[in-house]
Amino acid sequence: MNGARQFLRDHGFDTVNTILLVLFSLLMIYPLYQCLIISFSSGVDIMNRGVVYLWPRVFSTNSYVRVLQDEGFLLYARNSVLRTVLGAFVSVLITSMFAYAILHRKLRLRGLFAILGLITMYFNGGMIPTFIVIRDLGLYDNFLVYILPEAFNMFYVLVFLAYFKSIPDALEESALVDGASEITIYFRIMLPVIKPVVACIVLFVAVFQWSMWVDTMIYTDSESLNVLSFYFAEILIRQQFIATTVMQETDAQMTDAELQSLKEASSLTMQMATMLITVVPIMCIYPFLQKHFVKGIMIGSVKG
Amino acid sequence: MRAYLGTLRKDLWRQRYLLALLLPALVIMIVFRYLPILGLQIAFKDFSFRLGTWGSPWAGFKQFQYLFQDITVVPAIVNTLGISILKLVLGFPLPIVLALMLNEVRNNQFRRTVQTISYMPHFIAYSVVALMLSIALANWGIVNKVLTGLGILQEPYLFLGRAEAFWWVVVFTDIWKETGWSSIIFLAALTAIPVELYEAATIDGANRFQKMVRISLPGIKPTVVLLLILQIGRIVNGANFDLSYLLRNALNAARSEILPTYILRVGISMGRFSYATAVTLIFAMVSLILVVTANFASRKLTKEGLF
Repeated sequence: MNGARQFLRDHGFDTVNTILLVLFSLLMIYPLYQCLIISFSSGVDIMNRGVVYLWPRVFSTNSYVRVLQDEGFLLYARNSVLRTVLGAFVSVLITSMFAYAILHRKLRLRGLFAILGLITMYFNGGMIPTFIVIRDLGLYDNFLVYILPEAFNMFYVLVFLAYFKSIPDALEESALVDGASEITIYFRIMLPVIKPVVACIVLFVAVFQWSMWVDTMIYTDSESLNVLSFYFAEILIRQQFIATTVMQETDAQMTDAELQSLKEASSLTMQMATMLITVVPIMCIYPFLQKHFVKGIMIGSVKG
Repeated sequence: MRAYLGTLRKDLWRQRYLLALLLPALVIMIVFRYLPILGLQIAFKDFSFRLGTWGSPWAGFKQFQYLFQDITVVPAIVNTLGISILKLVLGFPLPIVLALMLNEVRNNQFRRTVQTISYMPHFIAYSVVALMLSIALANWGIVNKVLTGLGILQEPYLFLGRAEAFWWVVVFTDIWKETGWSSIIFLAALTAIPVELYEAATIDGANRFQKMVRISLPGIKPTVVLLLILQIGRIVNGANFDLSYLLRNALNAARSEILPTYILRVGISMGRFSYATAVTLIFAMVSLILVVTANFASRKLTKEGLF
């Protein structure tokens, strides 16, 4: 009797739990799903009859075809890919080399280097002084502004350090006896061994680089340096600008014309197609690197 | 002294390969992290680009005097704190609840699916999220559609056009984006709880809910406390630049301006570099005081702290 009641109660618990989790998942995924179905709708249909909520009324891949042929899109996409790949490469290289070097107990000034790194986790100069330094260095409106300022990150160093510590010293010592320099050892022996953690950091940097748009806004001026994530910011900033003009202008006719030109310049379906193309690649990498990730996050949240 | 420098030089030469590995990181760190920290001195100067950070004349506490007389900064401070506190109060418990719920799921396939879906928003850029939000919250957006459909609202509510709704909008967006991701650490902590505890509780007749509240939750308490201190320490950074900057408009301006957007607007757009840096400094000091206080309070209360 008691056991049956227990069973029912646990069963009820499972049901409620499952229902709540399903609702939660729907909430997480629906906004993305709606963007997906809008992107696969006909642009004319959406403009005339409003957005779709469950399924495209008039299915069309036209928006994707147009986006993929758009020169502006291709340029933005190229810059995004370039900064993601280069950024990940540079960050992984310099932070792992730094971690490998300060791992050596015999290294002179080791404590100083480590402290210098740790301080950067808690203090920074903020937006304005950083802007001035970047301008003084001639990095304003220069592609390198995407790569260099964020290349060093102490958090990545800590992840690498944790992993290096698990590698037996004997591996390095035998190579040293053979007369190899630390540089050779690092590239020939260490890098291949730390592949899993490299994968983890690559993902961290890639997500950061792919998503970043503020530096495009602050540190660049020419359109040739724009990136995909900035494209969406641009749409919103333009909308704000127009909304503000609408409020201020008394001449309603001009604002109507402006709104119309905005609509035509980039239709909702094309924006959504661009969004899907932007969002999907970075989400697709994740499952492959998932298992390396948890460890990195554990270190990060404790030390970061 | 000389002997020390002599051995130092010899050691450094002997370790030149290690130093070469370390050098690129050191250079980047000094140029992009330490030069800006030194650049904070312009808060006490009258900065001009012509004279540069080091050449500009000292101006004492002039900028700070301006700051304390300036009422335009007040809404930015209020909004920063308001959004941050709201985010901490509403956003902190949710990943813990999600982790506890996921931990109770027995079907692995289902758990993994929910987990993967919950991480997805984390990978979406804030600029994309902001655009999605402007669609979801539009008059014809899904949120208004559902709320009017259920009869909760009589007519569509213009979420982004109402100042009083802005804090809630950005806080819920952040929650949407990060809850799944933040739950990872709690899930990892949950797996470390020994199975024997649950078995013993079962023998004592505890039901699932009781086990969740009496065993799982206390089991992850150290992790929870640690993350709570971290969050409180970062509370001033809780207000999100991206969302406030991209979703602000003339209608919600009173509640959308936060300190980072204020610093950008006054500093870079209006060219008041020294003044904006003074704001940054005050901001950083408040932040530092909060970290230390949070840590101190935590030590007193739970004997656990960061330092």
